[in-house]
Amino acid sequence: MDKIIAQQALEMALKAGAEKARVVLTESSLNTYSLLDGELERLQHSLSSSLYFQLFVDGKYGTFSTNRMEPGDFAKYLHEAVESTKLLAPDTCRTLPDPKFYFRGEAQDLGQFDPSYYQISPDSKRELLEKLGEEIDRSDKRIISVSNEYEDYRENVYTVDSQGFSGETGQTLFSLSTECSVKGRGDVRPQNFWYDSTMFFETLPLGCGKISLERTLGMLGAKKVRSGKYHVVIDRTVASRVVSPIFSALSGGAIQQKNSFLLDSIGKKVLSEKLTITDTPHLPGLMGSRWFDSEGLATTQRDIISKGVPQTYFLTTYFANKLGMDPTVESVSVPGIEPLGEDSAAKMMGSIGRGIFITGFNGGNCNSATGDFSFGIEGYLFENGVISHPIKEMNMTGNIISLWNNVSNIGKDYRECSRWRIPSLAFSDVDLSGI
Amino acid sequence: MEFDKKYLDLFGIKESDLREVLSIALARGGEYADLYFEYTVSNELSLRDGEVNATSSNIDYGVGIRVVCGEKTGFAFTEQTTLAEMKNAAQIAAQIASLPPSEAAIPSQFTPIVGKNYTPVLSPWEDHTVTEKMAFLTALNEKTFAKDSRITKVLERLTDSNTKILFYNSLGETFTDERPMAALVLTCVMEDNGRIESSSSSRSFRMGYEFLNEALLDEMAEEAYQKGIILFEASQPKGGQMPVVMGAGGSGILLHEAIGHAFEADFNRKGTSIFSDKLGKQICDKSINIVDDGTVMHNRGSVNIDDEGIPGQKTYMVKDGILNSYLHDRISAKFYNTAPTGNGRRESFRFMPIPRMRATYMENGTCREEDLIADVKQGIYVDNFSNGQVQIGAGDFTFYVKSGYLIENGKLTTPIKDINIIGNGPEALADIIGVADNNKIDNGTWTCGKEQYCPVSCGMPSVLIKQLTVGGIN
Repeated sequence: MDKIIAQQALEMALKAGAEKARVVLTESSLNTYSLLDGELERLQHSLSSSLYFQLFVDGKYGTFSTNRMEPGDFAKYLHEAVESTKLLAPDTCRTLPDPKFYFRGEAQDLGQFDPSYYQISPDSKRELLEKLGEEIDRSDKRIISVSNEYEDYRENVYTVDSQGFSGETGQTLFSLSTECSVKGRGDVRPQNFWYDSTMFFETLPLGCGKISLERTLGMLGAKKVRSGKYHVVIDRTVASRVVSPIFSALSGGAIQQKNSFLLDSIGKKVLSEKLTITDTPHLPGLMGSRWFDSEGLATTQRDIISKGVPQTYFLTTYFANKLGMDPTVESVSVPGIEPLGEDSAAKMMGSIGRGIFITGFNGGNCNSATGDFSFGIEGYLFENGVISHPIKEMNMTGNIISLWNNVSNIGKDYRECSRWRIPSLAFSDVDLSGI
Repeated sequence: MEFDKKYLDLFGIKESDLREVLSIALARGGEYADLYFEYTVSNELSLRDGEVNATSSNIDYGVGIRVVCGEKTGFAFTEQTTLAEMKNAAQIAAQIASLPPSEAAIPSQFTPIVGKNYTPVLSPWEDHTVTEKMAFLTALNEKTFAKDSRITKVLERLTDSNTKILFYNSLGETFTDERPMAALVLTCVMEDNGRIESSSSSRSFRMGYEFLNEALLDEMAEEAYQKGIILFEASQPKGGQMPVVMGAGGSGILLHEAIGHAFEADFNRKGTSIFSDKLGKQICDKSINIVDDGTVMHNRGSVNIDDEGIPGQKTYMVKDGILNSYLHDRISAKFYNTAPTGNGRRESFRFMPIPRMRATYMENGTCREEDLIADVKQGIYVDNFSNGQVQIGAGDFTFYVKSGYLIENGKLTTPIKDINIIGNGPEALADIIGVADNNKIDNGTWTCGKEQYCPVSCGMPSVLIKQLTVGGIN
């Protein structure tokens, strides 16, 4: 990428009146091919560039972004952004980072960019997609439609600031997905999907077609189940849904606004001893790995939760200044539960006996201030350790802290292609509402 | 047609360039092509800890080139509107077809598509300074804190934008459009005896600076306050199946999730919607009429002309209880051999248009809200929502209730909060057993996330639904 554009843009921002500034240059491209019932239905190509300015002007803060990359096209607007920023109230907490927190040194290759990206021909992408399309035997009269999609994405980001920090990242991502629709009882037409993704084209596996159809057919005959307290096993594909509220509650924005159910929780045991979450940002070949965040703050391996005790907030320089603390990092990179357990979801169901196996969430939300949540769920009733029948129209309701104090088992089976390495999870005494 | 020269200048193009690009787009046998030029300037101002201390502005510019061949779509965009870049994008989009070149020539004359203006601006945003806008945010902060000493934090965000569109298609049609948008969001955190709750209010209209006024601030401060204090008395109720009275306004989320998406004709032409075989059939009580409307003045979901050149219009989805029309873009309308309904919308030039809702609401019935509540022995009343979702094929929809009340023996009693409600679209629609006469459109910052983000709104009179599954504690 042409880093000179960003460096020149930084000089322009300083000349326009910013005392300090950061400029982020992003270039990305996306290619998508979709087949509907074996025929090419959609073809999409995009190539994007943008410049993002963070301006620190007389103790005041403003941002400006544009996808018009020629200085002559945005100089006037950049100047106006600086002038508008001068009109704001000062905010002494808005600063560039203390340089001691910057990532320094040589960033080793995290193995996130496929050098063959530019050489992969459209024909080879479509060939792969067509092979995927052949996975499903269409003789099953219940099948209404099958959609297959190939997508590749490339993103390069270069960040430079007026304190001398600069850093560049590059990632590629390739994915294949299948969505099936089948005829059910009456007018019902269940749909489900499966996907695989990798950062290298040659390792992109086939197989999601068959899994997608199995998942869709498995939804036929869904029934409501009586309301009550249940054991639940949450499948690895969706288990992050009960982890993400914890990360949100530990974010600097939530803590500073006192809008968090984990306010003042650092060092206190608020969750189950079974829960330890570690961020491992330097593992190669993973989507979330990084040496530094968007401010240039160095990432480190650290415990987020240790045996039920929150260890850190996610603090940008701004929220760290607001709270009178040191910055950490803006958000998690590659979080994982450690140590992993020994069981798969099936084995968990086997040992529990009766409960609900949750394979999908349908809407719902979590109150960031209290941790109260209520989610629509999809999945199966299991009895005697094996799946009995699919369920429908049910909600799971409770409080995130209470839920995590009722965690009964942590699995071993996170998906390799997921950014968050969260395995299947089992909880007891969970409130479900149905009939 | 003589294009408005300022638009041609804005995008640095000539009419002859556009003809050439369209010809390339159809060179592999595509049936239809369009060029969607967009120039958007947006601004944001935010207040935190009592000070208006952050601003941002953004410029977005480019052209999306689409080629349609039957139900197939090729799409590419470029952020540089040079002839070379546009020709390159057109060649990529053209690859969706692999037929001999279309014999239909691009018409030599281009006819303007005329739409009404549902979004007139009295006072353009660019005529006003940051200082003028700041005064409103500061006033809203003061009005909010003045409500109650339990309010500990206030966050505000004001956004304004103006989008200029130039459109041109292979049928020889063209239009230009200006699309203003304004939104104000207020969030407050309250603390009572160590218990913390947060609440918010928002408003969004397609308006200029006249959007900001004292009455708006008073209304938003009061709404956020009222939504917040109720939470201190509220708890998650006992869950299960029960009657639900949905209060007027934001309850329109039921229509958006339970039936709106399933009426979008891209799902129906593929046979994947639970309503795919229901066109022309009775699907609910004959007193019920449901509309998707792009013509509500200043509404967040209104469209003068949609993003593929169809004038804004009002579409009866359900008329007298009968499924009257799906929501169409050009592709689905051709499939169903009917006229497009003006629902072809896109997030920006970076996306291809697909059928999307606009302002979706139910027309008034004849009941009174208090009578609907009085009819319920044991159930809930809900009127404050945050988000929803639907499974198009299975028909199962959900929406999240921030707050409401228990109904016991026909009266509102204990406040409730933080529950998800789930139901099945066709069943819920058929289970509406009372519609009140108090229809209200909710003018919050509703945004639909079907593949791409799109501003919408929703509304509804109060209705009584015989039975939905309510999340809760057992």
